[in-house]
Amino acid sequence: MPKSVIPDYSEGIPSSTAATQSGVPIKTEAMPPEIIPADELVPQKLGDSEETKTEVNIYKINRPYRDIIKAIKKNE
Amino acid sequence: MNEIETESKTNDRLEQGDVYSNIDYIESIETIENDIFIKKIVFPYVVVLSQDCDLEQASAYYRETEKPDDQDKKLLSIIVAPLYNEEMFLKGEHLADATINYKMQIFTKMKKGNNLTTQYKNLIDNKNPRYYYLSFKDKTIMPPSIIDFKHFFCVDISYLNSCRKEKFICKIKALYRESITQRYSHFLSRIGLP
Repeated sequence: MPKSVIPDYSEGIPSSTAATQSGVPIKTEAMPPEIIPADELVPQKLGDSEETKTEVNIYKINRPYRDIIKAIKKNE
Repeated sequence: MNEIETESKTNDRLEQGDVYSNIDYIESIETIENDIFIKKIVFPYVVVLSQDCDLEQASAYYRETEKPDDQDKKLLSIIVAPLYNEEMFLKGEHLADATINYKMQIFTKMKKGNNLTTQYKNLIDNKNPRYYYLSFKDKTIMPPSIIDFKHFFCVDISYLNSCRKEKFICKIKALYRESITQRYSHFLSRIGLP
């Protein structure tokens, strides 16, 4: 048998739990999605598609970066 | 907060609301003696803001057959806006790469009692006119992202057409993309008050 977890309501009962206990549905605001720390993210493989790129490493957290390309001017 | 619905298939043309990866913004091209220096910023994700019927008309020029006789409806470039990762954005570090190092505003998410701050609630409810918060329904496609309407640039349409399939991530559904461009145009047309 798995150990039962007793919730800590020392700071009040969350509205969703209160709704379950009273049987009266209370409309609660959707919480924002949990942010996963960058170092815990793993590459996700998306389904194959004929028209699109087959593999997208979407959770590769990268930010904009500056790049400088040096080219040699050709004198004609 | 509405979740953004997307489609993972691209049509045969560029569309408003398309999300592309690794798009270059050319800052400058400088010639020093025999060398050419191209300075650019690579944005991991951008969303297309240009009007969709303009893009549709322009797509006729990139067809294999039945190309128009003139270039009247051909576009030079399309407007895109970077999508910033929420986690970095909240810390004000989304442009804090060693090569750019911009110090941006920090957003506090939680306050005492584990409640969301008004600043964060305004952000995710899209009540701050400068930003557009995108929470994607399909989390495997895109993580929660933010558009800063102060940041946008143009990309050459021929270039994006040529690498469209390779860089395509997803397409934001029409209803949501209209909401983005409506707020973008509203922000752009605001009266600048001191």
